[in-house]
Amino acid sequence: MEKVDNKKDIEERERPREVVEVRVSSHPKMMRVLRAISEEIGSLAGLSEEQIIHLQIAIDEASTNIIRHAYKFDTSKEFKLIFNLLEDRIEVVLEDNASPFQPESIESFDSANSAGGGLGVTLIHRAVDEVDYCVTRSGCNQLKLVKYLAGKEVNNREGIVATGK
Amino acid sequence: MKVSLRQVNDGISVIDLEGDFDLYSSPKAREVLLQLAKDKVPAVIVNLDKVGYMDSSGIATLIEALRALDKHGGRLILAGLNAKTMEVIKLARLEKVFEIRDNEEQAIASLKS
Repeated sequence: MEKVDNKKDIEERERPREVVEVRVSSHPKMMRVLRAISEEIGSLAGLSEEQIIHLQIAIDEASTNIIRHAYKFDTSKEFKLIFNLLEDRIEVVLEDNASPFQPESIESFDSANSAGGGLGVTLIHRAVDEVDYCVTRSGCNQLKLVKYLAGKEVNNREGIVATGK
Repeated sequence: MKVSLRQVNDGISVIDLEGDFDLYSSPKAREVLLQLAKDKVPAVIVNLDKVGYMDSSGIATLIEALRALDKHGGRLILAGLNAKTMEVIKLARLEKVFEIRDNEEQAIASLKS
């Protein structure tokens, strides 16, 4: 009986309270719009002010990478963002139709010596709690960013318990 | 983004940026900053007082300008950062790489001291 309740609890926790889907053109001028949307949805999700800034930074950098590296500034393309608002976190899925990329090919950013290459990806990893990349069955690049609400416990893939940053 | 350049005393150049310093707008600021480095100006203050947001393209532009000015011993000081722009600098762990002052007056004072 307890197991059934636990399963129900888990299902309830994993069911998004709200889902917001946004489709934008791959034009750099759309970044301002995405930042405004990210701020509003971060607030709706219950993130703190600092966490909202971090979410904005991660979404901004991930979108910039799609425009610059995936679509190579071809403004006729578009990409999609899905915001899933859950009880303890917000998940943002970015999806584009460009060729799959090799995450290991990205140079790492060194603050003392770098000219700025790899900084965007570094910022994404530092701004959110989890980052996952995959190619979907339909061949789309899919990047998932997860940000936990402040104070909520995070059980990451290594089994380490931390709190949302 | 609006980019304007002015000279204050003792060869200090101030670049006033207004708007978002991002992928869309950073090429404008880059052009002005790299020209100042080419002209071997002794000191540049980047006034970010009216910048609402800065992304990695903005930071990369500032890093490039810092390195270019450093070649002839020139200095680059960032002034007037808000909570968002400062947070990006902190996440990039660049708060020790850049000289950062609260405002333009403090930046000028530190160049004169």
